[in-house]
Amino acid sequence: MVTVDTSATAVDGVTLVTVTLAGDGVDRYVRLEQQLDGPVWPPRREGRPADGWDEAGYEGVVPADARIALGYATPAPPTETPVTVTAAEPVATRCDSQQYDGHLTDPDDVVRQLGDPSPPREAVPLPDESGRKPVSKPDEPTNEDEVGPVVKAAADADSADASDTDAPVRAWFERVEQRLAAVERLDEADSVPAATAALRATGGLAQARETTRAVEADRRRLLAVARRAETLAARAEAADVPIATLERLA
Amino acid sequence: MILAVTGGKGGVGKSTVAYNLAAHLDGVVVDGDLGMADLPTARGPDLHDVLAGRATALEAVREETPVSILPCGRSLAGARAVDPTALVTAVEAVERVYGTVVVDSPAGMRADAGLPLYVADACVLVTTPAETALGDAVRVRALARELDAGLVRVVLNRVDSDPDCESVAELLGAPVIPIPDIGVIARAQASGQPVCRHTPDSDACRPFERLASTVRQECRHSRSS
Repeated sequence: MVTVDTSATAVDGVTLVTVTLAGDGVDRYVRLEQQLDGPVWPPRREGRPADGWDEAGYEGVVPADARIALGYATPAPPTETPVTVTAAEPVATRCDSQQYDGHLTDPDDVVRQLGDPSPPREAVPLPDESGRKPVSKPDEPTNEDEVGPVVKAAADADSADASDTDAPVRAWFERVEQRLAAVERLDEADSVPAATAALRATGGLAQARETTRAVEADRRRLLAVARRAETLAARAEAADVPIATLERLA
Repeated sequence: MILAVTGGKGGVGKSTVAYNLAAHLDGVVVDGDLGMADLPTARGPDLHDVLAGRATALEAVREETPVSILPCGRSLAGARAVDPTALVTAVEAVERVYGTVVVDSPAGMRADAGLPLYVADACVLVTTPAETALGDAVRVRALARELDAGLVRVVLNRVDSDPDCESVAELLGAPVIPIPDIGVIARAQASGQPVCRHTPDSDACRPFERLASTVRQECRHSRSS
């Protein structure tokens, strides 16, 4: 029987699991199942789970007279038995179609072998790059009198010409929409693969945290702008300039 | 039938060939160049939306354009947000409804060039006579073989009056269809129209007609066998 040696260590809220499998004189297909109460975060190649890994564990061949070493992470707390071997059949008894033949057998294989084609994060402009307030400081207290570039731009304008303010308003709304779409994708993810894909699309955990904070700042700014806009609209409505009287007086 | 138009090197005319081929096959052309799309675009959902799960593939197909097209978004942020492997199910979904799909593949040898070959029944390889283009074509030829996308024809693009088709056919292992270097093809592409519609009486239509006819015959033959 295959000999299994495991360890599980908690580091900063993440458990790192190591597994060593030693052969017993026969080549065996081995299935490892996660026993901890949480998802498997497998090693990745080009952003895809490495060969043999899935959401629940690992499947691969332990050579007759050799050891293989595996490792993965999980958010679940560690226990003494993080994984168990649920299958260990001799390779010879397996159906041939289940054996990996070295060909690119599914789309994930294509990505693993040829490389993730996504443009590097450094090449993609940040949503707020053109904004006047960097997204990295979203927690700054928001003063109602200074509600961001939109109102500032409007206040600086010499006239009420809409074209002066439309562009920055549109640009700001577009940036907010992009951030909202990103956090909504994260919110809607209801499975580990979906969450992983959403996190990847957002640019990783750190970027997701940053975007979430920025969205909270957006919410405060949007409400402040809405209140300010409502007040200004009410004043505009109430203002009834007696132009004819003024003309007579002039 | 799903056909990938591939080539390895950028700027050899893959998009032009894909667009005109789709026109002659009465199929849908999918702009598969996620980072540098250059087929005509249109308002509404695009391939970035489809591969990010924001729209279905059928919602993104435009039929009102000169050639039915599933256009691709232009932003790098959009390209980064997609799951490239979703191209496979998207293209298959379009094939089920429209019958013929031509995927315009990106340059390079990464997964975005491999996935169209993975999902395709066959491929057309586009190259120019330049040595650098031929070198990349050889590499993509090997990838197409590995991904089981049979090579129907090599398009030797932008050739002069006496191209050496034989040595290119020998190098890449498939018959060659030459396309001359004439301005009408580029002008048609720039106007968003296939050559046969832009300049119907032009000789420039013929290589595309011939290519489409060959693709039809060979794919029918391979399916029946």
